Amino acid sequence: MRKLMDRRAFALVTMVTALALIAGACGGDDEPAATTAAPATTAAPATTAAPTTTAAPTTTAAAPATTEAEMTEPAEEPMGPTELDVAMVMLGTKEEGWYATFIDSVHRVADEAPHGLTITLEQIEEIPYADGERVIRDLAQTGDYEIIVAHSTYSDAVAAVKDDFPDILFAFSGSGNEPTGGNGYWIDVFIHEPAYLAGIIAGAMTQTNHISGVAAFPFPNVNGPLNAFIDGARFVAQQLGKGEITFDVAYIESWFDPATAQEAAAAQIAAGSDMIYAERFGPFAAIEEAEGVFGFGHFTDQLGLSPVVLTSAVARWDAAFMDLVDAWYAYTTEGVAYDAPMERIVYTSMVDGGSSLGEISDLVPADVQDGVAQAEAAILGGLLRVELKTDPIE
Amino acid sequence: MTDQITDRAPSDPQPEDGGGRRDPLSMLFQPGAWRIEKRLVVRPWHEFITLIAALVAAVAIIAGLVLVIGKSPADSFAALYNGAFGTRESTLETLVQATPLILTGLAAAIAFRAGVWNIGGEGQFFAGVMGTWFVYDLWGGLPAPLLFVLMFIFAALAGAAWASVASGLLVRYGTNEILTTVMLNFVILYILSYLLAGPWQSPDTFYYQTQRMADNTYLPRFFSVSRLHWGFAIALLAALAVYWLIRRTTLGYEIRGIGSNMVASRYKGIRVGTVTLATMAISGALAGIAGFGELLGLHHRVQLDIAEGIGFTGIIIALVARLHPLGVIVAAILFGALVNGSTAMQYETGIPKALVFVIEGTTLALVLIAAMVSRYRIRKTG
Repeated sequence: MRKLMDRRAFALVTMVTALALIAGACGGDDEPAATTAAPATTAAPATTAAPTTTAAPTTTAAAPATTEAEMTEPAEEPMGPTELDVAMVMLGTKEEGWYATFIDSVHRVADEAPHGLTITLEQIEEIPYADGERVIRDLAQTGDYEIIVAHSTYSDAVAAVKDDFPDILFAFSGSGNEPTGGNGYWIDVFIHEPAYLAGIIAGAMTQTNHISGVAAFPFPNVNGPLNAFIDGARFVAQQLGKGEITFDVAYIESWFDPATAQEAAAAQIAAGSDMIYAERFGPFAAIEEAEGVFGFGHFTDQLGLSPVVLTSAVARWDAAFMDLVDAWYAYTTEGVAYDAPMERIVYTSMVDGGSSLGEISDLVPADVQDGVAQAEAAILGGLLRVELKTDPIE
Repeated sequence: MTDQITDRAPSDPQPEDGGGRRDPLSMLFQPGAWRIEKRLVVRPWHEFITLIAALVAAVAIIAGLVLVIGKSPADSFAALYNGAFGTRESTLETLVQATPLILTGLAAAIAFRAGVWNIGGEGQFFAGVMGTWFVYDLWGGLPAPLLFVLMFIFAALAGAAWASVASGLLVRYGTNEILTTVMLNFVILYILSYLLAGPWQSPDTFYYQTQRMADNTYLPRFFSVSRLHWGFAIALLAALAVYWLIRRTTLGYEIRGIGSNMVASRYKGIRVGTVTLATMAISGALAGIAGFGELLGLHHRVQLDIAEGIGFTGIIIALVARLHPLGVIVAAILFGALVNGSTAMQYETGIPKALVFVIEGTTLALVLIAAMVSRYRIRKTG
């Protein structure tokens, strides 16, 4: 840590130059003024889900229009629905990041009361893939829910059920699904941009020039943030003249196995790693036992989880959920047919609200924090484009 | 002992009298007065009464737990019941849930009858799933009836083969089959994981799953309103077949023989090794057929998480059913109802699903205790 502090002034200068360079390199062919208008196009070219460019703009464009309308509508249109009951089906428990972030987003949207709606959320936990169809049909049959979000790999189940309940809006999320169209919406978020920002901190603070990731499966949703994390770290290290950063990742082949994740992190620490991106729960326990090693949270803001956490790449489903609410509202009040695109609707960037950087620990030197803030501003301003790489890390 | 009574009731004029006038509580704690002893003959009604007592105790304990988390037990049980049997659809869905459990329950029951502890139902279930997919992958273009027959045979063979790995080691080297069957559950999942990440992986996805199977491979359904498929009929037939096998055939006699006394059976001329191999093969085949039914009846796509403990629940079901093939049907429907009703319980009363596992565990523990208790009696001696 002390050595780090000595380098603060140097880091500050280089960070600013680095960002200027990035801006110069990436900003050339973009139009900064147009960034908020066309958010999805900035990230899309590199994604595997490239077709989302056609889907995302229509849905994201709808959101601002309705948020404006919401202020006037309740008074003018008292006939519309006043309540929206949402059921959410989860593969795991609601504390896991994938679900917790969605629940948080629903609560945030509910607080805004779009269209004057009172939104309630019913949470159904630990429903295995094999049980999805039964549970989703069960929920639909109660007639209590207008939107059913099957928040994982449930597209087979939704496909089997959705036509029997044409008034209900169904949604499913993440990798491994297949599009259903009609009233079955496939949503996703990518969080590589905040992961890049976390990588900047890792690259600036690493002492050993060896950083790591502990992750679930070599899937695009998993690889995106990992690759961005290493890109951010490598770029900053290069700017600081720290030399080559080496990176390794342990895929633990499970979505939830803290013990294995902890072991993997311990092995990485033993191999000289001192910055670990915890794509799964578990590594912080190993990091806490080591000296001078820090971790980065994934999906939820995990700063409070452990003193070794420096920051987190946070997913936000607000925009995705808002679009579902709007689609349902348009169907219910104006009879606009559900027309889910035959591809994944991805909320890829910090600009279109798919992700954000979590709170940063006080352990991160002020100049590094400044650098991150500048990089964040550059991303939001469209000056810095983080490439989404979904290939596994060898 | 008599001193004690005298101390407690010094004014009693007849301290030595063994009559019914003594304080019953103090009598209970006199080893000389009451004895716990083994029954020479366990009658069916002994078992029935202890089973009912166990279930009543289980309900009481669960009601207590529901109270502890601040919910109403009556509402919870009502929601559980309505979710499982409230409507025609939910009743049929309970049978859908029971279908694989009947088969894995039978798989465990027949093995346990022979005293072979096959804990590998889960792995043999997956072997059946893989056997089915293997046929579909190679010969998917065959006419549907032939394809079904082939898939069924390969599912059963694959399950039998996987179980035979453990029984082969047991018969040849005396390897503990509990350990090998449990370990083999993991081994087959890793093999499947490899196949789903490679040769069997759907080209449309990077996810560990195969492509969706063609519509003509779906097992027919009985009703338009329910997912109940022919697998249920297969399961019932399998239960009858196992009942017949155990009760009416030589092999069944030998299975019961080595299960109750292996040494005596050996002296009597029963080839214990052969019977063990045959039993495990049948057990594995039954679990494999469960995989066949689930894949073709419900999922139509191989994934790593299509079993969700079906093989392990089968063990509980077999034990609750006292290893009786027809009892397995009842126990499987009971556990299917528990799974089916628990969702309604979760969203109607907010009780976490984890309670279902507590219910299953509590029921199992109490039923096992009841089985033990029914073999004993308390008798007044002197």
